[in-house]
Amino acid sequence: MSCLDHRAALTAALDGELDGAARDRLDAHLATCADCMAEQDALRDAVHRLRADCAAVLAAAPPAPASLAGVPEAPRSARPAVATLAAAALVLLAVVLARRPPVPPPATGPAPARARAAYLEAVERTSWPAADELVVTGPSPRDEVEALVHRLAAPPADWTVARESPVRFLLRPVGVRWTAVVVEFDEEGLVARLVLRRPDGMDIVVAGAPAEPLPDDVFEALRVLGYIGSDG
Amino acid sequence: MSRSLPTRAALERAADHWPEVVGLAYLLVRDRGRAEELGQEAYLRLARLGGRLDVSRPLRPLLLTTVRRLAWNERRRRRMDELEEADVIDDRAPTPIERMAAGEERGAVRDALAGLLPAWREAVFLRDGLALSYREIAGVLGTSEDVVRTTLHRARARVREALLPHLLPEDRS
Repeated sequence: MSCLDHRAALTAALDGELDGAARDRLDAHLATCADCMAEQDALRDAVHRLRADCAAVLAAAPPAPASLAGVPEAPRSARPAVATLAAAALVLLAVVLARRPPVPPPATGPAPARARAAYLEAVERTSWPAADELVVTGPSPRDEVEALVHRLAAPPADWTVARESPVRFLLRPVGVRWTAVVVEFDEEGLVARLVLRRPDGMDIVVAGAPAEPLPDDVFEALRVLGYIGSDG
Repeated sequence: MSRSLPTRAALERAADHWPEVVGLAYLLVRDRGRAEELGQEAYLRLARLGGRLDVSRPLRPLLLTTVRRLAWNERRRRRMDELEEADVIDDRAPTPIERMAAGEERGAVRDALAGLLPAWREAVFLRDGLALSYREIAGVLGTSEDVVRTTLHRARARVREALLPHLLPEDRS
């Protein structure tokens, strides 16, 4: 075998992933080949450099949202009706929920009311800097989605609409960073209003029709992230 | 009680992997805020598996696989492969780290990881950052152990070549 044949094995050997006969062959070659021995040392230096970079990446990660560590024990019966809300903004809700202040202590009263109160409190206390897209899912034909866009307070030219699949659209505001995302529930746990607030102060009502039900996956996200308690 | 959500303990275990999940996303999308959002999305997807999630199995590979898929989707959406000169299929082409190394003083090469091709970056991070075995890496990347071995070797060889001009003559092989 030539030196070239042994080079790939050097990396595996450094990682302790070379066993048995292959390891013996490499060791025998290294005992007689100064070039490959030097190459192994050089690769080891590269590994040290890369490990340091990886450690820096890990150290730079932001703290985990508090919501990740706590999952309420919730019976599935607490779920409201499966939704047909076309403008369900799960991505936005994820951003909102994960960036929210610590969950307030459990309150008394029906779970949907607590969820609504928690949202309103979070919106009052926090500005949301990073929500920049809205994923719309559901069996909505394109004309319905476009009609939804036209319902927005902002000119439709501010948005792009891309159809990712027959039932999935991606709506992206061009150059807009929301300063607030407001979700209001009614007493039955339904989304009463979903409002995006732009930096210029303009509110965009994404979902404002009365009694539109909360989408199933959004509800589960709320429950997992702690907004809806176990007794709802 | 029948449950559709993972248990509290499972989510608590998964929360331990947050830096790894966000770190992997960051290496692919190069945007810390977006990486954090993708990390959140990965956790949400895990939570939404509900009763279909086998909490007896390690959640780390599932999270890494999920966030990696999200990050690559993000790259495609943002056409990062077209925007980043580093993202070339031809691995003989110079990478950013080579170009960077060519213009810097000895010892000033920084962030070797960021200068690698994205597909190499994630493999290196899983190995040198998270100490996953080749088998585990292959599972996360959806490839074979041989490909993992080759990818890691190419990445490290590229870093070694980039560092070479900055070594003293007696250090060179």
